[in-house]
Amino acid sequence: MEKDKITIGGDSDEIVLDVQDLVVHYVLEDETVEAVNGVSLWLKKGQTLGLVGETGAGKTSTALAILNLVQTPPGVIKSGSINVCGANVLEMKPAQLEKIRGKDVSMIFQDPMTALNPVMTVGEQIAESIRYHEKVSDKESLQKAGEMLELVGIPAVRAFEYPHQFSGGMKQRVVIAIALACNPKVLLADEPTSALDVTIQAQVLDLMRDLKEKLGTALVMITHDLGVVATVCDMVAVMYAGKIVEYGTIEDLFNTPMHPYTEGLFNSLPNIKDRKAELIPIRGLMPDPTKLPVGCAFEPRCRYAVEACKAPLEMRQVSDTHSLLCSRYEEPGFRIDMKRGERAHG
Amino acid sequence: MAEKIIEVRNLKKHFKTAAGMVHAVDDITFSINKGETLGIVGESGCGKTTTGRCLLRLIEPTSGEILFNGQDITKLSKRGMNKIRKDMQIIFQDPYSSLNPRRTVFETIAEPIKHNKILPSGSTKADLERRVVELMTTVGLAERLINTYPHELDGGRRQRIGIARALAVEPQFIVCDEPVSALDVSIQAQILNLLKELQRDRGLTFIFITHDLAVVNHFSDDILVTYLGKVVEKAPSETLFENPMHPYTKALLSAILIPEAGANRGRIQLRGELSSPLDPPDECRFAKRCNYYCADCDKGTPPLIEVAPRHFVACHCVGPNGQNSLKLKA
Amino acid sequence: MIRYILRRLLLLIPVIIIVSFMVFVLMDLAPGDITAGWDLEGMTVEQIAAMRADMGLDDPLLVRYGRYMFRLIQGDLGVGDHTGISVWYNFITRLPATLILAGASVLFGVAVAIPLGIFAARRAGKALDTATTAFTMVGMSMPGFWQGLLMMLLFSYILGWLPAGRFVDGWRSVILPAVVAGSTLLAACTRQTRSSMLEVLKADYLRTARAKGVPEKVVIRKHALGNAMIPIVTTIGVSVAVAVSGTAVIEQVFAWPGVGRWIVESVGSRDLTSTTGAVILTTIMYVLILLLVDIAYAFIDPRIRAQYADKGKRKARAKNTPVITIADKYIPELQDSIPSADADWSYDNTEIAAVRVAGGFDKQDKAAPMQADSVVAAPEQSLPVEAASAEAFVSFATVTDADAAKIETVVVENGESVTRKYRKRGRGGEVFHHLRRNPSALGGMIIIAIIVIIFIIALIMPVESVITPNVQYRNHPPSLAYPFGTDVMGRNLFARVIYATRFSLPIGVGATSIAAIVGVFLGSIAAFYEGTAADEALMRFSDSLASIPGILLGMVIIMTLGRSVPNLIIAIGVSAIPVFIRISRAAVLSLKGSEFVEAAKAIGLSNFRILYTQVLPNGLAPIIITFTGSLGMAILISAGLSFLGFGIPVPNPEWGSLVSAGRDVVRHQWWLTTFPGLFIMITVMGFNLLGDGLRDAFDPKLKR
Repeated sequence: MEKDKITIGGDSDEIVLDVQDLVVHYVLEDETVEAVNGVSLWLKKGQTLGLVGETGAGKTSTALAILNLVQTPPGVIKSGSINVCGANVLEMKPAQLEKIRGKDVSMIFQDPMTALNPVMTVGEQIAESIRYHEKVSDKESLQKAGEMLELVGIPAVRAFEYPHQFSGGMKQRVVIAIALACNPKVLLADEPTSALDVTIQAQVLDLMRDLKEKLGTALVMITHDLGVVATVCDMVAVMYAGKIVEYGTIEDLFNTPMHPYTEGLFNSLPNIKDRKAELIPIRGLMPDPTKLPVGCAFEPRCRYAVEACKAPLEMRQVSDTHSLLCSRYEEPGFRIDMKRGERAHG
Repeated sequence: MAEKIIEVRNLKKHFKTAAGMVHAVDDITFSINKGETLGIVGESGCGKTTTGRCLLRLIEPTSGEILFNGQDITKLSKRGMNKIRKDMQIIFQDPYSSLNPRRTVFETIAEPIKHNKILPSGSTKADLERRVVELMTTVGLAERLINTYPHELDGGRRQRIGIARALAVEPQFIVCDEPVSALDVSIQAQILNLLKELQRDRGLTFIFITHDLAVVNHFSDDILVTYLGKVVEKAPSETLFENPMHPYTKALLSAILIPEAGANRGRIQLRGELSSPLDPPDECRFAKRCNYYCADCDKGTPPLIEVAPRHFVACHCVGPNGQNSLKLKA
Repeated sequence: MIRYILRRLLLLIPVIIIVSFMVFVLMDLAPGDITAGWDLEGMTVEQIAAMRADMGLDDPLLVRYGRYMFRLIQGDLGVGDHTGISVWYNFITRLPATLILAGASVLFGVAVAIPLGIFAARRAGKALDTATTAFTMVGMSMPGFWQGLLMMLLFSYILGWLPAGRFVDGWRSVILPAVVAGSTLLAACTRQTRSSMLEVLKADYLRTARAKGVPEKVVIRKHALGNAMIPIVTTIGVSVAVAVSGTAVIEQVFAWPGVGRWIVESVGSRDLTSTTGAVILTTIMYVLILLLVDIAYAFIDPRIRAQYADKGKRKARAKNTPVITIADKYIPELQDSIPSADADWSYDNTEIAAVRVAGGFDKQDKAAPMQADSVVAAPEQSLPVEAASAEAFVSFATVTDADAAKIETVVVENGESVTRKYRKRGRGGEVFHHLRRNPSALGGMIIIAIIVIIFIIALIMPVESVITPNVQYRNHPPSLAYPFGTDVMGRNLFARVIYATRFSLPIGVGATSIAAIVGVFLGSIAAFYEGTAADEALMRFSDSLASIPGILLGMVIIMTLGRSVPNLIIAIGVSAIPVFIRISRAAVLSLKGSEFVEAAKAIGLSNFRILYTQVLPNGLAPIIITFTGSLGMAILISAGLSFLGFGIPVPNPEWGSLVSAGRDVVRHQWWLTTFPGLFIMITVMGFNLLGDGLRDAFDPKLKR
């Protein structure tokens, strides 16, 4: 895939995140969980990538690897390279890593209820990040913390309060404030709104979108929710069993999805505009991550599977922006049929 | 004329806590016709879960009437209640904590059958097994799983066990409390289809409690929108989605994230946060967050009135003929 | 805050009443009374009767109790039956010595335990961690008196470095007793620190801190330790309380002029007034110390501080911020606003029954149950619990049963054939599988098996072989014929130690079993009627019972009932009951709100049936772990009692009394103390190891 050709969403050619062939396994006593199996993705400054998948797809492990926060026993980063703002994360020593975390690349996690230290004030938790990365006095860092709170829509006086005094949605805003305090180039957001109410989710997503535009942060939005992706992202990567099975722009994926799994995801969703339309679930279950097949991992559940699908596959390019991991597309004229009928164009 | 299987009148549930009285459910009234599905939607603190539990008297209501097939079950004694328990069942949200970890699939499904003497007297163990296998097949569980423990199975399968357990006593009515929220998207669809099929085949009546509006639209005939323990709007699904009247419903609908490129702009943003369910005063509980106002907003708690056929709204700014005097706040 | 303190002080009153009444009744049951030791020769029956009437000795129990309490309120605890010296005077003059000893031992214990615990936690699973665990295991299993004697032998007699107690040589004389007294505390505290740290090290907010770029050292020191301190403070507090009130044995060994020795003398000489006064005073001290611990919490944990804020302020705050910090019961609507899910501490607050954070699922990893465990327990967590069982209590919070294990089998369907990873294993099978792999549990089981075999041998040994003197061979050191040497009467110590198993094991097992049965029954009832007067009453009773130190209670009961095996079982069993009440109540409470319980209700099962067939079987894990821990403790207490002279009467051998018999001659006939004590230690260690192994086996998260 030619990275230069993808100019969607980004406002410069600067590549801030470049992951190549990342492989992450978890070695347990009896077996090995193959969580991430050769993932490549990249982000330009200001771009947003949606990383979509269900449980066990490997999205969180990918994100943790970018910060080199994978729990090292039992996790092992077997191969691959991860460049953040040009520097290879996997070769860094702890001191260097501590420098870039929070400063060049930040992460926010899914559950706001447990993400904050219960015995430290909210302001202090934000200020801490600032103090480690910028040469400011304690007083100044608290001042800046207050400003960050205002930025996320929380009155600055609440900096002296403790996490338990905030509701779920507000806690998540605090988490966002912490992550953005030092204006990182890349923000990894792991299902940041899944634990929140629908209306709060909308608020937080809008907030993230605004901040992203204001600060020029590149964002990797990890989610299982295609609606979230449609709202915030420029590019989308769909993950299944540790691999990216489809990669492209929003238009590519939503208007012309090609991978059978992607089709299955769309077909599983109730259609607001046609409540009587039948749901077509993907039959079967996720594969066992300790016994992944050599060929396509989706094959047992795929409507279009043939014998050839059991052989190892390679990512193929179908357009400048759109790539795919599916052997059936080697046959000329093959297409999934999106049985649900046309999805209305935006 | 469709038969009303459930009628709830002025249901209230208040919890006493250290900080005050929590009005979890505050005067909810609705009814459901046999064979239909009522969806109850709302966000945290709205009272939907408590309402579901009260219907089965798993939580005792503070006041109000619950009529099941015309009989007020709130007045029943424990024994009386136990007699009709098999007619009303519940499916829970969390497939992990809703099954006893020490019971195999067989034991979980067989227990209600045995306890309620569903099988005719004189039935043997083989008969029981046969019935359990029947139920497992109905819900799509492979027979070979009959002696497995919950922790050996995934969320989707566990949820199916829960459904089989609920079906085992041959109920007429099932409360589904967020039955698919804990499941992956692809499994969600499987379970939803299963529930629909069961409803068709057995004429079941459902209450479907959820926060997911897309799902409730697909699954329910009527929808009840709740906020902080009160009903703010009730209407058939199509009507609700085409013509929402209450500002909260509007906000909820606009918050739905549509999986379509370019969608999801121009959302209605609610102000502030959920207010406290502690000892709420007599006023419109949504007023502080509402983006609209009108002259009558401070006239106490708005009553639920029918503003169009089968369309009920509780908002001072919506008149009895559906006309609204909503003015946007600055 | 002040209101809270005042309220807690007020709660002291019912505790004092219950405790004093219990003791009073016990004393009453004891044969004889204050006149028993007097010289009544030459007095006529009428004179005796008149004297008794003057003293009010034959008045009804309640009248006498009332009279006692009346005087108590005025601060008059009476005078010693035999000495006539004021009870209060005796207490207050001896208190400083005990406080110094307790203070020194706590200081020593805590100063070593916390760094050691952190050290071990950070190297969890590695060699140094295992070594630390082994070290603490030994420390916890060693009977204090034995350790004291041996250390005295080594450091005072052989090496001559330190004085052997007696508080005469200035600060140097505190060292030895403090180290010995502190070592149980050290062991318990290290283990607690380690396990709290382990728990905290898994917390999500540490991940947030690392993701911010906070240096690892700071993450551990500031973020992790800051949160881990809360449970550690509990252990320290409980240990202090135990240290202050439980030093009887140490004081005996080192001839330390403290409160403990006085109590032993009083009980031994059947001085009813002094004993009653002593128990009451000890209880008050105990409870006050724990109150201090609770107050300390407010400084460490802002969530607790918020809770103590004036009710008015709290209400105002609750209205302004849309968050209710503590809820009365599990209320689904408030789930979102219940404080941080990793708060696996109960909040000491009589308004809370249990805080349950569960019924959810880990949205990130839908295959796994929620990281934050379903909860925790009972209020009044800070009230007395024996050190070893405090840990068992705490670790319950990390074991979730209803949330069960993560998926272990993901079934891949391929047409009809299926690949499965694991053999079908029931819960019991799971546990056993993990036990087998756990080396310490295996070790524990082997030790226990050996002890049981010895017990069986002991049963068939004829009694003559152990009590017949054989004076030709007296005072022989260990040899082939006499592996443990002989005692002053020439009896074979090896045989006597083995024979003693016949008493020690049944006493330990019997006492713990009684405590378990009664405790679990009461605890599950309390949980069932949670929040009602019955629950309150039961918990008050339980706490009152728990505030009397085990050995003290044991001494008093033995004094009342007499020395025999069944009485020892009762004496020790009674003091273990509160732990079981607390643990089972907590277990049932946390499961009570589970959805599978609701499902059972929906099917129409009766509450009683649900409790015993659904709930309790799932709550067994913490109860079983507590059982093994209590067993070890029971054996230690029984050894302590017999060391102090309250065990089975001679000539029957019992480990503790065997150690005691050798204590005056420890310098010369070291074998008399060493071997029996070693036996005690190994037996207790066996049970503790098994308990540890069970805890690991029951905790699914450790497999991750």
